[in-house]
Amino acid sequence: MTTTMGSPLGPTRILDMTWWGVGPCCTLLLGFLGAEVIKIEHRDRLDPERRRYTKPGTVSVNMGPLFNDWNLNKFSLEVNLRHPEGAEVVRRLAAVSDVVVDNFSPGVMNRLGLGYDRLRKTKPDIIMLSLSALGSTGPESNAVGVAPTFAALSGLATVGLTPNGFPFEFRGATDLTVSMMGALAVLGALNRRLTTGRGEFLDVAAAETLASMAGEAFLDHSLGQRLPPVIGNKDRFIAPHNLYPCRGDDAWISIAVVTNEEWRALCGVIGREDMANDARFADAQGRKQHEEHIDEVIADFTRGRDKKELMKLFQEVGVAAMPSFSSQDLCEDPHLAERGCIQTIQHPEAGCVVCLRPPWAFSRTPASIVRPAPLLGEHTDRYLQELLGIDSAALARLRVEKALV
Amino acid sequence: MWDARARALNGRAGKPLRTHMTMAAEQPIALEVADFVAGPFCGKLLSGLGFTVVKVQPPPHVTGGRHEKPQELLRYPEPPSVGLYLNIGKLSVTLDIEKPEGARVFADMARRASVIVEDKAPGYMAGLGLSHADLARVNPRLVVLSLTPFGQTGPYSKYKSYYLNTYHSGGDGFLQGDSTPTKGPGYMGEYQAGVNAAIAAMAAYYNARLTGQGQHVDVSKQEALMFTNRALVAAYMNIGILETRKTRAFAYGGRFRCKDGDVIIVAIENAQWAGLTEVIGHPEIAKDERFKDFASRSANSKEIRQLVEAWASTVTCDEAYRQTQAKRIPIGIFHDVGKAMAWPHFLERGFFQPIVNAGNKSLVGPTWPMHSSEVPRWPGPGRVSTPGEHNERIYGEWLDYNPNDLTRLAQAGVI
Repeated sequence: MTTTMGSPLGPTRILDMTWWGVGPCCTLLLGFLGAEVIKIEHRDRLDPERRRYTKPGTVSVNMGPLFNDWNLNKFSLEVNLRHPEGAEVVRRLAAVSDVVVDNFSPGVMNRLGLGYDRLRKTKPDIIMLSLSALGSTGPESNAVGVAPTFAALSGLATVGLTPNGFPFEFRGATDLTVSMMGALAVLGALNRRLTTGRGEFLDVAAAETLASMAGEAFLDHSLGQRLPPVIGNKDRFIAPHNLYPCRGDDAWISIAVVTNEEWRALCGVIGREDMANDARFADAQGRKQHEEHIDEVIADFTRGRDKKELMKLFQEVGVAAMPSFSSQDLCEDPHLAERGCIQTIQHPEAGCVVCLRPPWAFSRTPASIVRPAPLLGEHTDRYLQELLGIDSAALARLRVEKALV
Repeated sequence: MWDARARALNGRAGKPLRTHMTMAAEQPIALEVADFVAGPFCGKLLSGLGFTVVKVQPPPHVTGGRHEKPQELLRYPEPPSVGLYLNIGKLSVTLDIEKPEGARVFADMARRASVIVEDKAPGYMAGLGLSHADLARVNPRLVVLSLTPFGQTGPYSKYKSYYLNTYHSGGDGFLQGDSTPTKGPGYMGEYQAGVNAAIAAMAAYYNARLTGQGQHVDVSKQEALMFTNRALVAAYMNIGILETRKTRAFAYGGRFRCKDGDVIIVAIENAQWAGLTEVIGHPEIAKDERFKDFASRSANSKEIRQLVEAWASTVTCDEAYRQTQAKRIPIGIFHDVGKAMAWPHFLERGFFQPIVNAGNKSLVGPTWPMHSSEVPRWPGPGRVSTPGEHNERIYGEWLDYNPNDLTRLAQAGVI
């Protein structure tokens, strides 16, 4: 079959039951890839991100800046899942969708009559992804978890320690890391379905995603190695490998020197040719041994200088150096600007929304931002009429019954 | 010469391509020309999703190169356990693609591959006549995924960046740690970039299956990491909030020391706070003016922490976990990897199993971060190939080179 597809995924429909962060950012990725993402929402169970960071006294539920970022490209239907006719509407939507994604506690979808076995009856090849902190099964599957807690349980948070020697207290970036694994799971299932014609149920546990990103630490443990955790920005073998203070408040540059050639170049930049010729620092082992001293010398050089100037100075001689960018730095960065990373889209209530473009550049079928995040229930009528053939009279009745809003 | 030979083989009337080389969805081939962690993790994920992954590395005798070196050191001394984890089940060939004959052999493999994952400096592969455009001429369905610290274009695309630098270029390092901005533990940023790359590779591959056309995908590790923090870019650009390590620190929640280790508790909502006061044995302070909402609790965080610390010091991590979860408050135990592997929940899910054989040991590690009803449970430990272990199989059987060809290539230092 040859289809003209302007986006990577083409006509793939995702029924999106998710809310908060991990779930919506997973379907966000699929939406960037061209999937049609239909959110099921309700004002009595409002996605908290619709209100977070809004000005006090804001009445509209369409002004949340994080919601308006994490739900780009999506459509919104307002349906009452607790009403039997509302649940039936959603089942009928599932029957004409390719994928269903949720991040409810395990068991909730079943209780709503939207579990995998039920949905399979009307769409045998449905792909269902359930995202959760600890997984759909297991003694702790009903535990409540957020990024810092499931990261701690995974083992990842102690594989390295902070500069002050404490385990990591992760935040939102960890959630979106799990979103990525969820999106990958869906792509794997779509691919398998092309071959087998069958759908599947996918269970992605946030803690397991994170543990999979420290696999070598588990293997080391299994080997009987009891290596102390690496502290802060250091590397187990390489030095200098650290962050160095620069001019200004909370301004830092990361520098990593691996080869002897890079070491000599760095010494040239900081005006310490003597160290380039010092036998103590001649190889990686030696530099690691004298790491503290070397760090002090480098910090003396960087302390009074601008981090972006330092970046250019070191890069010019082939030394790996990049500032620790703040969000402000990123938004003002010339490299990202040239790559078109910061985009805008018009939102009917919030106005001009600034957002990051999708994190890949496809040469033939671009991943794109094509519409703003939806207003609550913006597309209820359109979708129910076009997809399910529910006419105006029936819609009105469903509203009277409170199955719809 | 090799191209003509290969064409002759494939075009032979009545003789189909060997089934294990075809675009058959059951066993598509991915070539992995990547070092360190991100690219090989992408390859590992593709392997788990059904690809046969062939690692292509220079022969051991190759140390220099006429062409621009990869931006990240070819032989970065990561611990051996990294390679053990990332390369389970991959096939391995050695090939010097910087020699013209080596490039031709690579092009031969690319004809039959579905995906190539490469992490070389921008322009490196093109300089060898191995860009996507070059390879797509004889394999229009080919997907090439290029993974670099800053992408193929832009002023930083020529910059050198090791994993420390790439992490901090992505914006999350600034917000993490304490006295200093801190990269994630281990090679976390590399893993995050790897899964981002795998998404792109799978999406492009899926598209190629439907349309018959492949493409090139440019993935910047910096942008992959920025995606994970897109909330903060959105917050800064749209409402002017600039987050720092200070603003992100838990006001009164966070890490607490129990009798046998540390836990982390997040009790932001009023209902969660009320529950926590019961857990720590001070229900009377739930409605105390000083603690009535998040803002007041943040202002009086020292007192709260003292009370929680007092309770925590009297219980084990497990007791703290049970008591706090019972009130539906998020709490996690800071597991080291040993404790994580032994946690009953993970044990029951069978998530940690022997995954790789090394010497005469079967080593336990994370199996696969997605459970699918269609994919059988973990089949047992695999192994990591030695470099060049499959030269004969790939060059001899798959590409159909004869033994004389192989000897000649080896003598010329091409393989």
